[in-house]
Amino acid sequence: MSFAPGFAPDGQADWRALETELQEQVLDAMDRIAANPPPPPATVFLGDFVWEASDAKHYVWIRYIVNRTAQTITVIGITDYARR
Amino acid sequence: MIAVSLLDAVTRADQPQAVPARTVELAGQLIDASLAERRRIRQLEAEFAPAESSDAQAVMDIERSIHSLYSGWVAEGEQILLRVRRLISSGLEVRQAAEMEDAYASTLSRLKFTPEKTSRGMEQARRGEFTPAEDLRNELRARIRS
Repeated sequence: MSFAPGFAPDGQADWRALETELQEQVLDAMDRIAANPPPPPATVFLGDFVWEASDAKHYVWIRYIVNRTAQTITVIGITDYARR
Repeated sequence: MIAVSLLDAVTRADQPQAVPARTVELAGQLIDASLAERRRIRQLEAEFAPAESSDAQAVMDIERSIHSLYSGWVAEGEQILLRVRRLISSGLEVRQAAEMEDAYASTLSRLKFTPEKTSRGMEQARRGEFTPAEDLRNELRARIRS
């Protein structure tokens, strides 16, 4: 079952602070999670990925909340550390 | 950290250009142990992840505890990496050094998730504050096109 991905205000603010290409990577990661959400009882969980830009390696963490009633997956925060 | 001290001691005893294999092996063992410890923390984090219905105090307590475990790991990891980088800059190969660098950088990113940040985000989600990702995807596409 697919869920609708979206952002809480803090998650959205974190997303806006990322560079454009990384914003796209985050949306893609959210789509993947929404298409294949973790099974119950997980409700609050973390996902991470590494993205290599031309000038840095980015280590990204995304915190999600699953609402199985509303069938939504909400990003409540994103962190990024760039290693150059 | 006893093992790091041991690595310091054996490295000091050796000529920089003639570090024996056992010193490099010790560095590799330190990395193995450190990466295993980080896997254990991640496992604990997944196991004790807060539920949406968890009360704010319980969320903060668990988050503080996990954050503190990662903090401790980073402090020790940094000490290991300082020494491993020195060995590598002398031309030596230390196994899993790249994995350790990745784990260290990833954990620095993870540490930006403070307990307060998580708690605030959960509260926003609980209040139903939600912007569909599709809206931001459309905005991003429009921005790229313009």
